[in-house]
Amino acid sequence: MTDADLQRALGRREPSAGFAERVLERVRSEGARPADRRLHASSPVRRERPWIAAGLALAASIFVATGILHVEYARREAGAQRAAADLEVALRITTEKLQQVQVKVTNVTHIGVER
Amino acid sequence: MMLSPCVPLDATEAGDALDRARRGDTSAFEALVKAHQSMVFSLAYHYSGGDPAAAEDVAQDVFLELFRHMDRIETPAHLVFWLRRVAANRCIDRIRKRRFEQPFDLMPEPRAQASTRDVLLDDRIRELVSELPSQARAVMILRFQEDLDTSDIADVLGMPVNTVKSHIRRSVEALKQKLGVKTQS
Repeated sequence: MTDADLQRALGRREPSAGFAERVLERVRSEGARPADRRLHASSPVRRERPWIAAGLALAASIFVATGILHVEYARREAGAQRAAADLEVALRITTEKLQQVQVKVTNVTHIGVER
Repeated sequence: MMLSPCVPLDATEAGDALDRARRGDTSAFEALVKAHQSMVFSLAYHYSGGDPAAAEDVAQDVFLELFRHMDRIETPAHLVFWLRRVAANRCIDRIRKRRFEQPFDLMPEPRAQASTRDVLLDDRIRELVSELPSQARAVMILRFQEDLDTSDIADVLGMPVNTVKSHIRRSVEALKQKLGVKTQS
């Protein structure tokens, strides 16, 4: 058996007479129905595996909700850190003022004793 | 049995018919069907093991799908590629659904000066090709009916080139072996 034998055996053939007319008849009867166009316009996933589309939509919703919660948590965390830093500065200033007052009181007391 | 002759189009006619068919001209679409009916029908015919009724069903389905997707066809070359791919996939799908159950309902076809030995060998080859696994059968038909090279077959069937080469090598070996065994017996 040679390639030529295969090519001869598997050569092209013609359909029976009137093939194109039969195709056009089917086109006229069912080829351009709007329902078919809508069916072909939808994605293969939505058409053949509706549960996959629903799962993808659910996963996307969970992803978005998780993201929103994360952003909100980060915003509150930053606010708390800023408040803590402000309080620390305020305490440091107060401590310094108190130390200055304590030094002045001590000096006044020593002067009074010496007199 | 009267056959429907293929009416090939030259490059200019093919481009013109494609443009008009995309705009909804059914006579242009009919010209495209007549130009490519032999290719599509033959793919299904050989794939079905020589069942003309099943081949006609597949070929009609392919052209109906073409009509619905005309707006996606860009060039005459793209049209040929699209028809081969859709026809091959339709045939493979039908095998999966077990709709080609009665192969070898071979109708007599007129042959030009073929010897009796050639006719018998041709029938035997077609029989053995129809017994090949689904993917290998598609590869062999595209290779020897359409005379496609391995990279074109890989594109049409969406498989690696090396897989195509492997299918051809193993299928030809299997056919030779079975022909040898059957000839001796």
